[in-house]
Amino acid sequence: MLLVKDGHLSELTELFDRYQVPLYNFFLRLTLDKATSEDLTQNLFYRVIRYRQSYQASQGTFRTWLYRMARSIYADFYKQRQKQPGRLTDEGAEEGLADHSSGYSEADFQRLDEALALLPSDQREILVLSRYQGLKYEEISKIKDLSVGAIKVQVFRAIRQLRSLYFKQS
Amino acid sequence: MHCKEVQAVLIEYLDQSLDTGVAAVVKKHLASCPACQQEAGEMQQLLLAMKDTAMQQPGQSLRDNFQTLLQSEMNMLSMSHLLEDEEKEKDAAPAPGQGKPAVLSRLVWQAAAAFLLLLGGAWVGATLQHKKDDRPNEMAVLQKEVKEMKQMLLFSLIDDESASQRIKAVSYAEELSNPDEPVIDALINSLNNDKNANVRLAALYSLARWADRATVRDSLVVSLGRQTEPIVQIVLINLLAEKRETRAIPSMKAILSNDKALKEVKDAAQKGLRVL
Repeated sequence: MLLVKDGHLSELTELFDRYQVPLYNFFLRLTLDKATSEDLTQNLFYRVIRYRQSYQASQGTFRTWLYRMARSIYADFYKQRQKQPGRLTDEGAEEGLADHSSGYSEADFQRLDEALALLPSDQREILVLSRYQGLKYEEISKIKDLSVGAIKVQVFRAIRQLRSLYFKQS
Repeated sequence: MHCKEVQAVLIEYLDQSLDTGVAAVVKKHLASCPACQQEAGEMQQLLLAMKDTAMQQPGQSLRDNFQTLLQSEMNMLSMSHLLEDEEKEKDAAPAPGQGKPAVLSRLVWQAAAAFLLLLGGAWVGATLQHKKDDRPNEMAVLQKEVKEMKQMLLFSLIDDESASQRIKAVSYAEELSNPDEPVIDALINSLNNDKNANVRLAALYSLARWADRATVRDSLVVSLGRQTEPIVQIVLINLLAEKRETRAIPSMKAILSNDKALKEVKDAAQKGLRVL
């Protein structure tokens, strides 16, 4: 990313290739809509191109910088959606989510997704970051400007909530 | 350890990130407490499921659009570098009596840069809002705008007092796939009247691409009679010979019989006449 800042813009393609899938999935988990998620991902990388000068290596890694922007993009989107509710959740979004190595059935994943969708937005987000995307607590603490301890508590509460939703269904 | 304390570290226990000492205590508690054991089992199930959820692939258009965005940003960047170079040039050599035109031309540059930014923004807005279906149409509009922008730059620079700027102007024309009459006229004017030979030559190279157009060909034929710079003459002779333009014969003969003409130019004319 420092190369990019120095004007080596073509290096951005490599960063894009590395991060487009996780970030697309970050948005997809939160919006449950493919087209919206692609738009938001597009929007995110547009900001990366435009605001590349604002990246400071001292404030964290490129990844945390990226997720910070992703959060603010989602927050903007969420505010807008509150104003004009309607559509969203397309049927196709959930297909083929299962990675069958774990022995979970398609139906189990389906139920997990439903439970996740019932969580409040901030709980859903913390689970997406820490569990689905596998970010470390330290990274999330940088992204959210909170202490590692506070992040741990949030993750704990979110998983508890998810557990009660998931196992209540069955 | 009480149940509450165990639950507080349960996730870390399942993640296997607890100190071995603490982990052992938790393990012991779980063995003896069915409620905590159940909670641990269910959490483990959820954690595994979330970890094993496969990521989905976004559509190819995401990458395509990104590449287009990046390309347009790179174009803007090189444009702003041009701007900076221009300003450095001006600062380094402030010729007397050039103050006003320099300011004017800087304004033109800034206007052009601002226009580019605007264009980029508008286009991004359009891309983000619209779906794939109407993209071909959008591209056509975009291409038209880029064409107009290049023409604008060409016209704003072609009368610049610096020869290097005029060469830039002339070279913008090369990027236009199908230039309008005013563009052609401006190039022909540069070819015939620019005081700098390099600019005339650049204009000639640009015009050569459309040498099959009747108006361009006519002007090239006329121009050969007027050019005095050897390099421009030679390129022009070669071009007209290659196009089998017989109307250029009188001008070539005139060059041959001109005592002042350079030997190299005469050689080119000789060769051209042989072809014709």
